[in-house]
Amino acid sequence: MIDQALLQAYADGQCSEADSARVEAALETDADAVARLEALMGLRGRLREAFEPVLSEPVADRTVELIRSRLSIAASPEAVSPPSNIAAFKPRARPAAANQRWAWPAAMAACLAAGVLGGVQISGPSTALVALSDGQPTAGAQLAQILDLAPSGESRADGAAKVKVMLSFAAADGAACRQFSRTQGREAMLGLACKEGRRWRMRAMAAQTASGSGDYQTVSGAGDDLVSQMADRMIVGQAFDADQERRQIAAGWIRTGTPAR
Amino acid sequence: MTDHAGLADQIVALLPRLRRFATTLCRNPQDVDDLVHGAVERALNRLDSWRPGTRLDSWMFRILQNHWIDQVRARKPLDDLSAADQLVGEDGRHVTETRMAMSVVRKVVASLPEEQRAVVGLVLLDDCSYRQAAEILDIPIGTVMSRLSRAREVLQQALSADGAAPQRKMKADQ
Repeated sequence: MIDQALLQAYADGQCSEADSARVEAALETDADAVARLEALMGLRGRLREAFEPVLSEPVADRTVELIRSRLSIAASPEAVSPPSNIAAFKPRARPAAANQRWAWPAAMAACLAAGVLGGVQISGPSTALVALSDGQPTAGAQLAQILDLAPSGESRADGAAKVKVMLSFAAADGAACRQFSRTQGREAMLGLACKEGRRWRMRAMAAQTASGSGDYQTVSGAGDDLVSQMADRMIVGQAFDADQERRQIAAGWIRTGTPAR
Repeated sequence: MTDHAGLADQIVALLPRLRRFATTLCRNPQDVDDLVHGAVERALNRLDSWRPGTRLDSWMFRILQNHWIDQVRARKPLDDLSAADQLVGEDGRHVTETRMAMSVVRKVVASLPEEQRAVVGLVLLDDCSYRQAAEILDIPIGTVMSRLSRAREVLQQALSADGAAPQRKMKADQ
């Protein structure tokens, strides 16, 4: 007979490995324990379901304003831009099928493999822009944090560089993706990353030639660079608006487009 | 590395979770945003007490919990148990409507004692470990576990009545 406290800890993922093994062994023969565990898990599921809608309710504007006004003013002046101007970053419609060029992903991969990213570190310590994880290029810790949290249109410091997320969208496979620019001195690049599990997997990166004014938005906004074309190809529907983005930030960039229950 | 704008983002990103926790604490849904706002204000006033490198979410949840306790002490009558049981409160109809809109599950959670609502909100809804919950609430881990198990018993019993939850027959000696 397995103790209810132990079963509770198991249901809450709080058992040591040894205790977990004990519970699992018991579950194989003890039908009563299975029923009790199911009850514990069922209750947890119902609770989560009942309170889940709260997560997507709007937060009070005055609270967000209070936080921004108390904390953002200290940031560098150019880091502050109006938060709800995502439309200015060119929400893109789904491209016509004729526009799809399957050669791009291969080109991107080649681009990454060759490290054609003037001045951008691809490996190295945790400060690296991109790290390899299971053989896949993923955003380094600092970049990942920015991709997790920064609203589109606002710049964030990444070491000496500045990262600005340009837009966020759902890809055809349901993954949440974000396109961003990164500038450091005269070096600039565009990147596209999609959330896979807890990581941001890099889907495209390209070095960008700075225009005379140093304004990369016009370059990417025109959609004539490789990364923007990749994004155009992957996007389903419109880019997220400010509300959708806020919800994604809160939820940790969950997959969308999974069939509704 | 954590510049202020980054910290602002992180706190803003926490707001939905803070609201959910506040929703488990407050019996009156109309108090939720005030509680969160008050807690955020309190946090911003004592940012120096947060040590970068430690968990921002735990720190904020703890401040919210403390703020909640202070609020309850300050104006007890509005939020005690009897108010939750009566469907008609001071502003009669409105309170009734809000309560009706709440799901059965949320109503049952609202009927739990305050300290049990807090552990339910942290462990069952926000996936806190027992240790984290203990730190946020400033109580021993054993207390977290016993409150949790008492809360579960009540919830299980109340919710099995409507048939949707997998249920377990209560033992005769309980």
